[in-house]
Amino acid sequence: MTNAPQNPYSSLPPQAYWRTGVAEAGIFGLSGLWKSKWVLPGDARFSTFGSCFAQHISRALQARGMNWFDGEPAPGRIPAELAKAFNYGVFSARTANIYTAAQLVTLLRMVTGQTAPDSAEVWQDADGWRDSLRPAIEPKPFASRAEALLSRQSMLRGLRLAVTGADVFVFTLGLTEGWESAETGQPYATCPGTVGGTFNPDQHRFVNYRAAAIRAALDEALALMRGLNPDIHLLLTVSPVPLTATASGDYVLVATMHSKSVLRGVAGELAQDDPRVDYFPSYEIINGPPTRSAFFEPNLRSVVPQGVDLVMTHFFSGLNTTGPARHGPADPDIAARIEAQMNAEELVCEEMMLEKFNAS
Amino acid sequence: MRPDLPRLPDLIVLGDSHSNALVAGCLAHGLNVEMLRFSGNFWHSGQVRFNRQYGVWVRNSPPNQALVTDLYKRLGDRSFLSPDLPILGSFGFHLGRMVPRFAMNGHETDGPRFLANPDAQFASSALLSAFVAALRVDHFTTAQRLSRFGTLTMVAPPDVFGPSNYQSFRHEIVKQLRDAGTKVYDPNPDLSPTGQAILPDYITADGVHGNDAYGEKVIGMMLKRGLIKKRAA
Repeated sequence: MTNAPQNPYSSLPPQAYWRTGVAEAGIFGLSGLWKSKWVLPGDARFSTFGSCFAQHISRALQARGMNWFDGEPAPGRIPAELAKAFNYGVFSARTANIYTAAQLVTLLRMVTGQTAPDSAEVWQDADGWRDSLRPAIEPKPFASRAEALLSRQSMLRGLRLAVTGADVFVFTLGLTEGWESAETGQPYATCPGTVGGTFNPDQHRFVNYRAAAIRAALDEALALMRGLNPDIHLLLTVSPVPLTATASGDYVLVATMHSKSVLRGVAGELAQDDPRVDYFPSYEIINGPPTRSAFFEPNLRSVVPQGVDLVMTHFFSGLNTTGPARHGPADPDIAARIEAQMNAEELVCEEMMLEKFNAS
Repeated sequence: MRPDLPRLPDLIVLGDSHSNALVAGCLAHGLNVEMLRFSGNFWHSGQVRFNRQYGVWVRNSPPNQALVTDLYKRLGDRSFLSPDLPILGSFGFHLGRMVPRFAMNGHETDGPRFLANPDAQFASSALLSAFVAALRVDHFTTAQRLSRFGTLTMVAPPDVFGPSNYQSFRHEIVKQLRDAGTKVYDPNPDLSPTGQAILPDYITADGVHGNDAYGEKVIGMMLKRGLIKKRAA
């Protein structure tokens, strides 16, 4: 082939060709699928938010001993099942799932003081109060409207820390479809009347965010985050998990592919346009033809652990954390200090008991 | 009662280091009192459990269990579980073992205090309740059983901090004990109706325990309310 005419495809590597890069490689033979464009500090901190698939990223970072940043940690020594029930440790603050870019920017506007924490609705149900931004954040509704708002403010503090304290803000885009207030435009985490609240067709409207609106929301979110932390990097992913249901009127399969395609397109363009935005292809790894949908549970929706493992293998192999550490040594172990304080108090108690014996 | 059996004391104080003040108060009021007192560590870690024969059993601590069996012998080979023998309980709280841990990441149970501290996190009442239930369910069960087979009145520890996570935890434990059917006397509303910390005059030098004067006051209020009484001669 030495006499073959030269063209832009002649010198491309094997992974640029479908046959050699994908068909012959097979799903477990893919290599170099993603390479981070950043050299991150060796002790890089990651905050993770987004749709439910983002939870896998949180867990994997923790399991790997990476610096997963928790802006809203659980109370100390809380039993694990209790922490889970109250949604601690799922994301870097207790935002619950953030499915849309509109939700993210709504939260960041509150974090930065552009809107008040109580500007989003709190729903009163028969058994309590729910935060319309995260209606299932606790096992039961809040006891009062005030509690729901205080808890929201606490979450906003945590989200702020997750932005200011992190090097990388990982955000997994989940949906283009959502519901919002017809009056204020406030996006809801879920359609009113499903997890909480009461659906009213005059007050609640369906929206299928278009690419331009999602791009505008992400641009604004990025600007707000950079206002808090000029060094923050935004790593976008698209959840491979299909829609549970669509209100678009389309067949759910068609609606899912539309939704994911729009999100994928916006994320890719944003990553192309901004050197501190990157895109990680978790969506492609799970949904690409090489898997033949093998990484889905029988419901063809939930992702099996092996799929998550493969995604995270590519994630970690593509990361570059060879930069100099920037955060310094970890804080002293606060738990150990408190334990020591409690033990000291116990010694006082014991001494007091001895003295009591002496006195009697 | 069998004539050969030793006379029962007026009451038993069962608990942790907060028992000291209660015992001092009983003595000040001329009550004949016996005490079973174990470190809050033993209570907190669940090593002290209800036992039908002895009243309680201290696991993995022969010296402490010996205190139980010694009392059993002093009572004439009887446990302290008797309808005629009131038990004052000062266990199940152990706030010093629980509250600092809960708050180590800045959790605050009170709205205004949360808002006043920009580094705090807010803990909902549901979280507080679930946290207490998770760490104290065994203690509440012990109290329930002591109430069923004996005559137990739990006595809440002194409020030495005033409005704080400690106060919230104390209130929640009192509530959950009462919800479980256990009789509880909380002296703090009587001592400080405004909800502030009790007077320093009632607190020992360590800052967390009631002193003898406190115990005398508390036992006096319990006698006045008819919660305990001196055994007839």
